[in-house]
Amino acid sequence: MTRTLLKRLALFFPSTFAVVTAVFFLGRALPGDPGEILLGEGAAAEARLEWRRAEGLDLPLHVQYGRFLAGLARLDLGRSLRTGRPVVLELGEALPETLRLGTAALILTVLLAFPLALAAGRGSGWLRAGASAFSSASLALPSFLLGPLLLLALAVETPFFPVSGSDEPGALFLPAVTLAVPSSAFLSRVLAAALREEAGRDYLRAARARGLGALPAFLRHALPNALPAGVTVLGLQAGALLTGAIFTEKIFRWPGLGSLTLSAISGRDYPVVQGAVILFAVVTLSATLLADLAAAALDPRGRDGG
Amino acid sequence: MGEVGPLPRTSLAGKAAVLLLLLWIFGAAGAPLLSPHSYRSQDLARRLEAPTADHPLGTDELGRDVLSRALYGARVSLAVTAAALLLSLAVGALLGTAAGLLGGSFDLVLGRLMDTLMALPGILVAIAVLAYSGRGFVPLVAALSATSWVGYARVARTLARRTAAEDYVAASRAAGAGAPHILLRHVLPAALPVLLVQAAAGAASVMVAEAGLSFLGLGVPPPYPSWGEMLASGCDTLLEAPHLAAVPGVLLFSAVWALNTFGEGLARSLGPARRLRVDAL
Repeated sequence: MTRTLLKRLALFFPSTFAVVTAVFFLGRALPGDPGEILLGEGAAAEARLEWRRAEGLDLPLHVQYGRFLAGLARLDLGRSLRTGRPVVLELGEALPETLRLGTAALILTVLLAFPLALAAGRGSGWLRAGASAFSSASLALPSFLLGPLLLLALAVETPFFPVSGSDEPGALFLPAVTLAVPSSAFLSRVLAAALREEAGRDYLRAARARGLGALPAFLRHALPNALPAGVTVLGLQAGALLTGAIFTEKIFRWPGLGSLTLSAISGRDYPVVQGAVILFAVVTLSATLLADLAAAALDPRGRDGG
Repeated sequence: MGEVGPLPRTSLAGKAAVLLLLLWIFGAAGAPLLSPHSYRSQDLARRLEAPTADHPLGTDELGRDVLSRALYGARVSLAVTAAALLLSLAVGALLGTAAGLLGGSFDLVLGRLMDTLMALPGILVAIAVLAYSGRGFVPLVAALSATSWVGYARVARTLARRTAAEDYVAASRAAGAGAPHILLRHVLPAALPVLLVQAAAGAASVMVAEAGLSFLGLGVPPPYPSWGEMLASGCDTLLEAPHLAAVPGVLLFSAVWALNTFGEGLARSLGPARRLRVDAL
């Protein structure tokens, strides 16, 4: 357990540091002058120079890098080139909307994946065929296809769901389903494979021989052993849900981190892009880390200090 | 690789997939001949028209012919997917075999780099690269390959280590062969079939990623069409002209499904056999 923890942390911190460093140097390798974006193309050369000096862009690269890291430690990511507000504030306003969407999608993913996995791993005949058809169809149905399809089928034709925005009560449903379907297909595949593997084990036969019914034996003995694999995948899917939100937010005009990132990219608002990329990476890496630790804690095989 | 052809055509789905892929490649290659109109000529008086004899799939929000744009979009999709696959395969094979053969600190540093890249969602890395590099064919291919080479490098590294431990490589080395000779004559030929099957299985996800980036407005720059970009602008006019989203949507779904089915079938029917042959060498 301690070894797993150390190994995971040894991956988490260097990865985060690598992302931060890569984002810094990518930003400094830009062909354009950010001052030009802020002050307009017609701005006088002197004004631009003045701005560069004020922003510390005339300093040697390693000094700039040191300042960048020091700022990051204080949660200072600079100011947006478009609004002039601190990047942290802009991100902080968008993040809750994305987390709301992501959490709903995560819950839906789990709710969808477990019955699917049970159907694929235990069910007979048509149940298994249906579950596998669902997962192979959703592999070819990325969010930017599923989203418009759901919009067309449900939002345009029925009055229950709004077409865009996040204010109305039903607004969360369609974007969350769009995000959850591919994730649950993937999760249920892994779970079903793990369940199938466990189903052939001796301990399950022993439980049945003791007189336990097929389903109780399965739920009490096979499921706990299959769970760690599912939790690990769920952690990876949390990252996928977060980046998937970039697409979903565009389709449903959801005012979250994805929409902010896209508008910052098209507006060449590099401080915001930089902050968003770092935030996305840190949340993704944390989700993976948490899931790995949870999987290790859940694994019955690792419980006896082994 | 002469025996590749007939193997995946065992199932009905496999046959349909190959047929769809051929149709898709035919449409992409013949786009200049098959298109009834130019993909870029606008006719603002005839915006968002439903299908007619003149415009078999209707017109888009700028009055451009949807069929012509779909055919040219297939070219973009095909070219970008193929280029990104080739690039990541080449980079992955080279770095992976080098790490496997050289070992030491190169292997260690590359390993950490690969761990970091694998810990991040590929589409996020691609978006970050495109956010800084701007749009274009070359940045798009680079962005798509930025993480996907890792999968090939991992497999190539394992295969290279396995091959390097073989007796015939030791014999070759004893006969005076240098590292380049061993890499080119022994390690790469043994690894390539496995990597090619891996590439076939991964083609669909590259295509989805290309369409996704185009959907976000990060694909090839306008006026060149791509299915993802057509889908995005179709979403804006979902109410008035649902066919604008439906055409690229159906094309993309069928192409991705076909590529997935083809790649998985290829990997299933060829993968283990190929790997066995590599083992037997």
